[in-house]
Amino acid sequence: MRLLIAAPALLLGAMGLVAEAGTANQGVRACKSASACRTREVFVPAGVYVPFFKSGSGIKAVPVEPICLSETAVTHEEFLGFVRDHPNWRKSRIKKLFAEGSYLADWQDDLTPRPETLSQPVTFVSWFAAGAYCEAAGGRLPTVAEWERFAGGSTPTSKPGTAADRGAGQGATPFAFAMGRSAPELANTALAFPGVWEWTANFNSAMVSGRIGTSEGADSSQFCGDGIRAVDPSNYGAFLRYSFRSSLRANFALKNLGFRCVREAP
Amino acid sequence: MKHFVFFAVAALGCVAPVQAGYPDASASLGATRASAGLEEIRGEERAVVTSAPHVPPPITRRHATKVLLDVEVKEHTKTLADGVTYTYWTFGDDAPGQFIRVREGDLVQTKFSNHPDNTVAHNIDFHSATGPGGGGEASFVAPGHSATFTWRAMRAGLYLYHCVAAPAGMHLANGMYGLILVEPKQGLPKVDKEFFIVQGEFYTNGAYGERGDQHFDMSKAVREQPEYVVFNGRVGALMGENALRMNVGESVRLYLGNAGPALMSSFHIVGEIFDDVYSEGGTKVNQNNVQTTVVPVGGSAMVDLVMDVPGAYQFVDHSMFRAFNKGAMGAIEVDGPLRPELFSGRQSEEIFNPGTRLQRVAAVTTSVSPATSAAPVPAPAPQAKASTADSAAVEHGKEVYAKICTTCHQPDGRGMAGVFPPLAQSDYLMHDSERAIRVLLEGLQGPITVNGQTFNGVMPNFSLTDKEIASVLSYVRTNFGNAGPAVTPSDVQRVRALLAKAESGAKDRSTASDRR
Amino acid sequence: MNRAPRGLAFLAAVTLMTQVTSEPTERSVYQLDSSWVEDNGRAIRLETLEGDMQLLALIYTTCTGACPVTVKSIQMFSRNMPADIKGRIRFLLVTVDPEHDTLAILRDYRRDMKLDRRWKLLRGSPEDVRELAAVLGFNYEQIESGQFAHSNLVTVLDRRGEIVHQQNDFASDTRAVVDAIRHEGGQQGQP
Repeated sequence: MRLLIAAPALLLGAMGLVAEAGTANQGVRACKSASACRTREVFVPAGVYVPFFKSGSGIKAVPVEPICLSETAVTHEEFLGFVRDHPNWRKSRIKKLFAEGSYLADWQDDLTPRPETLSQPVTFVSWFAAGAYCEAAGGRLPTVAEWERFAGGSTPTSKPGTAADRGAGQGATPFAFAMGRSAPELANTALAFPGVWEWTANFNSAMVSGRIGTSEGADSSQFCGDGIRAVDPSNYGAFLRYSFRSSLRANFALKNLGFRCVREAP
Repeated sequence: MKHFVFFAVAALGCVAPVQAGYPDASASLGATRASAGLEEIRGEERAVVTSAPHVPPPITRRHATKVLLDVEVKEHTKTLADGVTYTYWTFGDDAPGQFIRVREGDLVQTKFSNHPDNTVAHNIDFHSATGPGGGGEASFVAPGHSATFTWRAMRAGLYLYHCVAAPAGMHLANGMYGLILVEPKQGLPKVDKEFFIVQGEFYTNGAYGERGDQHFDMSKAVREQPEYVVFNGRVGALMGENALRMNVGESVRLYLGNAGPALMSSFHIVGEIFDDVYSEGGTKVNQNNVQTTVVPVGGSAMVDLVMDVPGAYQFVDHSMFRAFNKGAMGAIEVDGPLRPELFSGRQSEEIFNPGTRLQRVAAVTTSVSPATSAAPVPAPAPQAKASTADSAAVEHGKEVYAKICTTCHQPDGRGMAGVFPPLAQSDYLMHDSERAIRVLLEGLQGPITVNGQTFNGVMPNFSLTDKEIASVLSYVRTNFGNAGPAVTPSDVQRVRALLAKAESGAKDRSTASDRR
Repeated sequence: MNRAPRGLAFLAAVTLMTQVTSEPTERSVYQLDSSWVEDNGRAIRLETLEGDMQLLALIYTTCTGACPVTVKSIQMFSRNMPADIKGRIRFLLVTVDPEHDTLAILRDYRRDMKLDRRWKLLRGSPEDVRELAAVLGFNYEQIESGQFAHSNLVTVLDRRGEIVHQQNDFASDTRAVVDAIRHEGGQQGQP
């Protein structure tokens, strides 16, 4: 647990992928209460996250610290501001280690997203790029625990496709509910899930879904054994998310994958 | 510092003694020289794959080769049934995916690609591959990426392939399955035509046939209650102009698969018999003359047959409500000369009235005990005392009764509990002779109470003559423990006329008004 | 072929290469800007690993399951490598549990596992480890205090720090690893 708290604070210092320091000085404001959050942020009070998979000794709730959470995913317009200020993250300059060839694939050039997408979530961005953006904005990517807490919602109903389940905006698929649904206590906030998967700081902790047949981890994941280890096997939205995270590499830039940032108390 | 390290490494490399006993690293999966027990691989070729229901031609080469197979996953909204769409997850842009045909011993190099527009990670498990996950782990990729892995077709047979990414049942239920045939080295017996059929289920949030875009319903899936059970991916995929076409006398092989994910299939062609069955898709004919063969979930079967008689046939999952209410039906059109010596078709047709075949004189026994429960069962009792009806009419009525009435009201007039009212000691019958005549003139429906029991059936109008009605009513009203005045033909005539006048008076008179 | 001239040629090529390649290549893992400490206390950055091939595994010292098997398998491999590739590769262990695995603990681990000077044991900050793991496709998660669920991925980096081979189960079959090392070595003299 200390790891979870310590990590984000260290991340801000150690994630020195961005050379320019200008925007970073917007500062990390204490976020212990709702009033400390900026406009277009939602305050998520402290809570617990019940992991989707049982750990070795059974189900163990993970405490989650309070955070200020962006209301919605980062948009093309916002990302444009970032690459203007941080040229190393532009399409023509970025190294393959940090983003694969499809980075910002739908942008016409380094500084030209398609006009009709400006207010839509930016996709085709890698974990590195997402993390760098968040750092420049004074925050970081949410951890899986944090994301599942604010966006895991409740178990999807048996009738997806209703208005409540469909994400608004582009990329809404029949499984938009899997891409995010507000935790019950955040239902009356402006928290929005515009129908894209979202990067998390430790996406590569989701190692059991999809790795069918390997003997990985402290508990071996057997053939289709994920369902056996899941706390709620009928929550196929969570399955889809964990499975998807398992398939990712840090430099992937995918059509349906965007991100949002969080800030937390130092 | 770096330089020092390099020199040191180099020095070590130069002077280290030779190490013996390490396995030869040049031996690898794709070794061209024959390893113990494995056939030598000669050359390479691209896999030939075909869309449903067609099958690639039999393999003629007599050696194992390296087969280059590309499989691409595409998520795509398609038609599931008339007016119904569903977002399929497919191999090769359709469910089932393409049929793959290789030879026993082949090395199959599979490039598995997940289209960049797709929303989730996928993979593939070949039931024909022996190795962890059947390839599931090796092939697991995010959208916009592909993975390559190679497996050897160790065993001949007909195998399912399907996606097994978590949650696997959902991937199957969205259409991610297909068949791969690993032909035995010596090939399969030659047939004139081959087709493949894969059964699969769809769990939609809306009911069967509900129009619009439908989505996967997990609770139905867990309960194993699909709305659709279909052949080759949609309702009617093999019907109408897509029916399988064959000719009389042709030998046909059907490659059957069942992707489930829940229900076993009882595959049957209505009006045909399978000559040879390779149960569970193995390589041995292990049964002949089979009407219905089981196709297990996640499994297969092969059947060989010859169509003997021309015409239109259906094939079904013989779990009948799946066939008629969920879509598990397909069609075969067989062309060719008629074979009357095998099947005549309808030769003649006539009226069937079971009354003519029953005994004309029923031994009637009646009881004087009151009806206290469902339809009174009359016990033996003397014949009811004679009425004023003449015996010739009663005799005639007896004949009419035997011909028309016994089927429902029984030879002893006791009827059938809850279904057909008794005539024996019937209060309803005896209460009103005009009503009794009306019943025989018009028929009767709606709830009535007879001897304290309610009946709500339909009695047809038998179009009897006045004489027949009079006779039969006289008969029943003086038998079966009933004692009442007989009915004459003129009584019937009078009622008939009344009814005709009432009808033309444009007011419906329901017999419900006769309810007691 | 006579050993000595080959050795000299190798030295020359390698020296040339190290002087020419001052910038990591596009796919090099050494582009990561993280700082690490070896078990002997020396601070290093990843780019100092350039010039040698590296066989890299992520472990933690209190792991009782897969890690000891992996480390021992690598060790056995290191002793039995074919002569022609011996010396071309170094061995790198990075702890996923820097909180528990202090430098002292890592030194004890080195001693207990009998890891020679070709081995480096590295400790870094938790998110530097997370970042390195993400780049490698190595997945791990702390499930209890001091217990991790993790993959068994072993990675071979070429001299420029690019991933040339990975496999999940090092113990069973190392032929592909040998191939990868040999093939890389075949590019001697080419920058």
